[in-house]
Amino acid sequence: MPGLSANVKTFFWKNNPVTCQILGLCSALAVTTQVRNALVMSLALIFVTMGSNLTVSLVRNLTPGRIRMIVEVLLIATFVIIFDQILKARFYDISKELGPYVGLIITNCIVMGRAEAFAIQNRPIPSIFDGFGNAFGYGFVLMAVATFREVLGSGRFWKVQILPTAYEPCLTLVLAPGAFIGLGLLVWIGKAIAPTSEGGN
Amino acid sequence: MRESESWTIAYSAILSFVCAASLTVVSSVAKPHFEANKERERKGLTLRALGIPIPAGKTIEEVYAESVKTGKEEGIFEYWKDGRLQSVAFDEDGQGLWGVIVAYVALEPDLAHVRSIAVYRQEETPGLGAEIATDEFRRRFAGKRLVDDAGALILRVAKAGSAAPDEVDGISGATLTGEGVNQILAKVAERARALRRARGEGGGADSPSPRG
Repeated sequence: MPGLSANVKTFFWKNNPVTCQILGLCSALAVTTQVRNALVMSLALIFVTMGSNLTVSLVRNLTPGRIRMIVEVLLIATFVIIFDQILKARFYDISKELGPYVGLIITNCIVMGRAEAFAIQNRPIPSIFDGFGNAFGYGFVLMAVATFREVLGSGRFWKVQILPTAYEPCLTLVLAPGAFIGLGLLVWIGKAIAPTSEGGN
Repeated sequence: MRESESWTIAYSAILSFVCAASLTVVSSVAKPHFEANKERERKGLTLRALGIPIPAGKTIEEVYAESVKTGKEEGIFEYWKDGRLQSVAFDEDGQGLWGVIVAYVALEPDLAHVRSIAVYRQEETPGLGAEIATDEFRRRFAGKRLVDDAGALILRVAKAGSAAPDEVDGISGATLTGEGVNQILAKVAERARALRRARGEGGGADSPSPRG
């Protein structure tokens, strides 16, 4: 059974859910205009994936096979709503900027994918590690793309101007195509450094 | 046993109940905070629209309680200082590209010139239409004439780069959002006209009452 460090290493780079499995793209494209939003989104995903993996694993021997996916969605939705409520109560500004994307974590393929592929068949502790590793891999990609977009697209990092004002920000990077370009570059680098079996032809 | 129908039903019911119960607990804890955040945001925007400064060491709530009076009608906020009316804000909405735009439009006491606006709710495209909520866009309205002496609307958001002196430059790439703001301006002009008429009938000497 792979432990925490093995999980993190695998999903951090070698089998990263975003760059290698190309999952969770909707939010990865949408919330990466600013590093702060990307960080909150990453934390949300870590919380939700760990929570849903743990609970799905805990009830795996009680869950009838026919309704297991509905059960997974129910548990995922519960954790997502909890996180959304905390955000609205404590970090109202960030919750406003993220808009619908926190709620949309319910449909993030990474969360559902880990519940169905791992947690439903494995014991709780490995499931937590698996959830953390995957969500961390997602968060890493988000942060990388967000840094690329915020710094070059608006000359700022964490909303603080870091590039000289003489630098003309590249507006394209802040708009949706910027996310495609940033993510595309990451996928390319990922495949070049560590070719996956699916990547070959 | 696990795959039996009765267990499936019982299990669904129990799990749904547990999830719903935990969400109820979280929501009841979070709700007061959430409502307070929303109310503080609304008050802050009202202060901004009315042009009320927030002195250091005072909270938004304190300043709001001291300076803002709600008008007789719903959706009207008045700024009184030293017994004189400083500005009047109207709460109005319009249809933007993706959703409803709700904004406060504050007028000078003459009910003809704009003091400021503050967009309170909008779902426009980030980076394009959503720029209507920025200070930069707000400042474009300061001091503009909303209505002429006859009470007809003259202020509008024009296409970017084509604004006449009386108009406000729109945001390039967000023409439909500008139309939503124009709807708001038209509604505010209508209400301002009604308010002026009411004042005129009340015998107010300070406002020229253009009754046609």
